Amino acid sequence: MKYIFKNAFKSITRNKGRNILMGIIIMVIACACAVTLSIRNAANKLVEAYENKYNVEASLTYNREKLMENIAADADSAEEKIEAFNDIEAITIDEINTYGDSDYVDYYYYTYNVGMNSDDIDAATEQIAKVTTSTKTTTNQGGFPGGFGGGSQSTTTRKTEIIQNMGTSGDFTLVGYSSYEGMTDFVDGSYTITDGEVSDDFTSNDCVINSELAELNDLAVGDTITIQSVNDDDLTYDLVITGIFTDSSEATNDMTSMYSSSVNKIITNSTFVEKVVADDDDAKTTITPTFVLTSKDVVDKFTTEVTTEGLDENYEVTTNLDTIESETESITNVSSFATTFLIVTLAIGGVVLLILNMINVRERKYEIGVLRTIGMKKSTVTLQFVFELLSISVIALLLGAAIGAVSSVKIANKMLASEITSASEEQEKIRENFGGLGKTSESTTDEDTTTETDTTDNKVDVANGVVKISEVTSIDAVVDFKVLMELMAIGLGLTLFSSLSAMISIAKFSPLAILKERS
Amino acid sequence: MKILELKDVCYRYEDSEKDDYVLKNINYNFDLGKTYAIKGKSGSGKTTLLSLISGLEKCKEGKIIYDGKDLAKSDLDKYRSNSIGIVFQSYNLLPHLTAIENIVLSMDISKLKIKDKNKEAIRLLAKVGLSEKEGKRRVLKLSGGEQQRVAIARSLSYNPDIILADEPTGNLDEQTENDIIKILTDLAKNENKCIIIVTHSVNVANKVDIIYELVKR
Repeated sequence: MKYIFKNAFKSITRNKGRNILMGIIIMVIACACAVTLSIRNAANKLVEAYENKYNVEASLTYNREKLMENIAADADSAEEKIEAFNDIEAITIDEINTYGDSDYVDYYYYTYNVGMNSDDIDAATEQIAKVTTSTKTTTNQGGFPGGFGGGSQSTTTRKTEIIQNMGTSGDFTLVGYSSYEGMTDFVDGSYTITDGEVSDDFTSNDCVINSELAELNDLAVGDTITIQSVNDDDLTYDLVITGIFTDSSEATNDMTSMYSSSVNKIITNSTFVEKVVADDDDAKTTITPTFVLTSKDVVDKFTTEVTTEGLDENYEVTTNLDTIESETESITNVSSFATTFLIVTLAIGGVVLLILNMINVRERKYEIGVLRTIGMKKSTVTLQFVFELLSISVIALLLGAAIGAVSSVKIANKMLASEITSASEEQEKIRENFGGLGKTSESTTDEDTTTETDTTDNKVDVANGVVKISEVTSIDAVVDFKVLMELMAIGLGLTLFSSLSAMISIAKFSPLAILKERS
Repeated sequence: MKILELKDVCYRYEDSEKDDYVLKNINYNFDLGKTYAIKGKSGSGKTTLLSLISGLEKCKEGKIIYDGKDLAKSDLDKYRSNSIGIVFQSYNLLPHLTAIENIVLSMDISKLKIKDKNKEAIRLLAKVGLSEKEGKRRVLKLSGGEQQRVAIARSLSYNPDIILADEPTGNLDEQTENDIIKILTDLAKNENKCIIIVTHSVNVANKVDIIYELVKR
């Protein structure tokens, strides 16, 4: 076998001009492939990063079609319809916990609201504040889902409230979150802490309040406020203010009110709200569960599971998949473009190499004839030709990959620059919204909960009450090991494809005919 | 000793008429240590016979027996690389290689275990009257006679029993022709080879032991 390689190398150096030309063509193909592969990989990583950022969240919302159907069947008048609506079983915390234990759920959280009064502080009474838990969700005060009875409708599926008992009542709304993830107003920047911070103890009696309410009652961080049940004045609770926030959400632009919609909102943890509700059987509550699924592939399985577990037919599982897909659409397009470009490059390159190889074989017909006459087997002659092309391909691929590696970073980053900037800015903004809590990301010492900084992972991770935010700082559009392996596979494929003509010709050539022709 | 036997060998081209044979019922025997000439006019089937004997074509009717084995059932590549040396009128050497490299390549293909192939190639070249210096030249830089000597040396590189020469002196002057024929006849006498020469030349035919003449039908 050694002599085949020796012979092949001799042939390569003998036909310098043609081999350099073939090398250049392969190098150009390799360079284009390296760039497109790295762009595609980078785009895919970015999509993955977005998918991590926007966890696949499932909510339990009213199945409007079913709800309308059921209410219409049971009631005729508007009063009866309202009564029928009120009779619909609400989702309970036990149910939420059951669904949350599913293998398809990574983690889950919920928001628990209850109306409260207070003799200690004054509510902003210029206008009754609306009960809103998220600027992105429905503000629905007593209206029927589906259109009758008033209330605005959600424009997004990211999060939808489940309102029980015609909403909360009382001067204040006590909002309890089970974790940081549920505090979407802070995550999306609607609320921003201006003094103090959001407490990391989800079992305490700490709270944060609107700056307008603080100003109205001359309250500051560290003060204690007392609130009471709307049904029983003797049921009182003390809350310590740990932070003051401002509300910059669109709801504050309501020109009929001088206050923001969250002015009478007292934000605490769900454990505290559960305690309040446990004391007061008549408390009117609102529960908003969110289940973060392990991946987008398990949505159907999770839906089937909660239905099997006994989810009321008036409810359905809705997700934020549409939002995620719309966020990643432009990047997916870049990836698709790169893939198409790759296919076109390979097709053109493959054909050019095939033609060059055909010419090569025709030029070396005499050599093939002599080798076959002195007893070299067809397979050995073919092997020598393939080895020659493979040697040129490997050298050209490495050179092409090197050039591609240098240029791909610049090209990919330029193509995806706007995405990188917006991703980075958003992460910084989230840190600020929580009163700088994100700064603790590198100070955690618990090995089990430490998240390694990954340039493509910008998931907001909460463990032991510490918010850890890693971010997208650059796009990793490099010719890495994976790209190199893909390039090698492409090179091998191209070599074999373009050697096809040589293989077929060598198999068909009659040495005697070749030599006769020569004579 | 009989080394090659042609038994009722017939040959016709695939696109020819059913009875239009180029060769019909050829029965020749070839012994080791003898020199043979195959004569015949153009179109008599000399080259076809050569291609059948050399294993470049398969015999479809009749049999060619080499060393007791039917060639049709043998590995013809191995037969060409180990048992029969072919010398062509136009030499058929690889022009991008030196004379020594041409010979060494032939040794490589035959897969014979030769300790120092270069040294053996130089020895073979010396046998046909070429120096080491000439052996290190690209074959295109050698004269016609020298190239034919290289071709003979190459055919000897794996020590075959038969050397088949197709018009080996067709492109050479008389003096060189005599030299080449002497080399070939000496190989038969001194090394017990079976030398088969396809030729038009009366001069060549006069120097061999046995002449077979093909007649166009």
